[in-house]
Amino acid sequence: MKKLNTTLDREPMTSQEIRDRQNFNYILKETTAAKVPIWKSIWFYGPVGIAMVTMVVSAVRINPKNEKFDNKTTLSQFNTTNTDDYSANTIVVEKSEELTETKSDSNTETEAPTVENTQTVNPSNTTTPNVKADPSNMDPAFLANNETKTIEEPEVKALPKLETVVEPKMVKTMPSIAGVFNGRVPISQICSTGKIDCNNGYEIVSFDIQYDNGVSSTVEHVRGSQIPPILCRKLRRFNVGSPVFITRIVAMNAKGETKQLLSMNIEPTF
Amino acid sequence: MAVNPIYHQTKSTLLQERDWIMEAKKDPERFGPLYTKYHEQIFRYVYQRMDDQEQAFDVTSQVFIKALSNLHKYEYRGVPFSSWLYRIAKSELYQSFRDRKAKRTVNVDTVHLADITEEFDDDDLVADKSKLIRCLAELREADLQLIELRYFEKRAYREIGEILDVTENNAKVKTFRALERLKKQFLK
Repeated sequence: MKKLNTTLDREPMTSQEIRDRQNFNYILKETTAAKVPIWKSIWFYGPVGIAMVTMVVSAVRINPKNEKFDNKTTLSQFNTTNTDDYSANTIVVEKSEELTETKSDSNTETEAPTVENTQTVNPSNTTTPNVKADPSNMDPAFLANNETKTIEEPEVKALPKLETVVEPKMVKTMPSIAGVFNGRVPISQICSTGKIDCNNGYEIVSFDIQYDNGVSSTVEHVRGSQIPPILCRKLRRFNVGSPVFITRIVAMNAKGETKQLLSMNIEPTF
Repeated sequence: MAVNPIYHQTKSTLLQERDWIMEAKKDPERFGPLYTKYHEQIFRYVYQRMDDQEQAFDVTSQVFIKALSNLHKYEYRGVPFSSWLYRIAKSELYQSFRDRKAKRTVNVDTVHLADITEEFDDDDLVADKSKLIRCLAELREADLQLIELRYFEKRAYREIGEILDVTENNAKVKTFRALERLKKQFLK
């Protein structure tokens, strides 16, 4: 089959004929119409998509609802005796459910009512759960009694297990002068109290203080929690506006246990 | 051999063309002078390879629409703007053939056929036009294009090189080989 058409000695077109068919406005119009809007181009979706995903992830992470949930968990861990708190109870029961899941398969029958009870605890849930009977045919008073019974059961089971979940609260022992650990402290407060305080039942026994004595930087070891008046005068004279480091802070509690605390970095000000 | 006068430009006209392009990149309405300058040239290139006049005008318009849409990608390389337009035209032309499932056309001017037979350098050859046209139709597309550009459209080798994106020398060598193949076909 022939691939080409051949035309012999075709009538040539004059330049005028061709020029008459020029239409630059049509070219302009078509070019504008053919342009893809920026929001339809693939270059738009890449950055915008990434930005959207970032926003969603940030929103989920910063969402205060998540904090509320954490608070509830803490409440459920610490206020285990408060049976009136429905939300706390709900979490308690859910936790017991998680724990029972680790049991062997033979316990699965006993787990079933526990899961049902989780639903009955929630006051917003208006449906009345029952495994065997149709709840619509039952007396509301009977249902109410039945609810209170089913609520109590998981609590009794869950409480001893929760004891293993609760962790002792860790409070860090921190030194401070006039409530400041790191930062600016008025020199008047340093010299009036002149004492390094400590929380958690600890008292400062000794510390090193590094300051400028007017000639060079010096380190002095101080016994007790008090900054001596002579040091105070030097701080007032030479160290206002420059940092003073309090290091190797040793504290002791009533039982005689000692510990070294974090170093402080204060800046005396007027 | 006559040459295309629009193609052969002085340095100042090339620089003026570059200014037009730069202005058109900022404002498409400034593309007007380039359109006016090259419309006929591109139309003739397209129409040379097509049957239908209206289709040729449509394809020419499409070439300029494409050129204006992609003008931001154009880089001045010291050659006429038409080189870039020809490449777009070639692509649009073949796209049009595919879309319409149409065959490519070779428009042959019998006067130009004599130029080809002259190049065969054989006095014994009798110019059998119909045979030569048959042989042209049997040539490969690349070879046919070279013969067309050189002998039917009377373009300089430099221009052929710029249209086909090869050097001037390469265009010359390729045209010579295409002519050799045509001659071989013709003598069969």
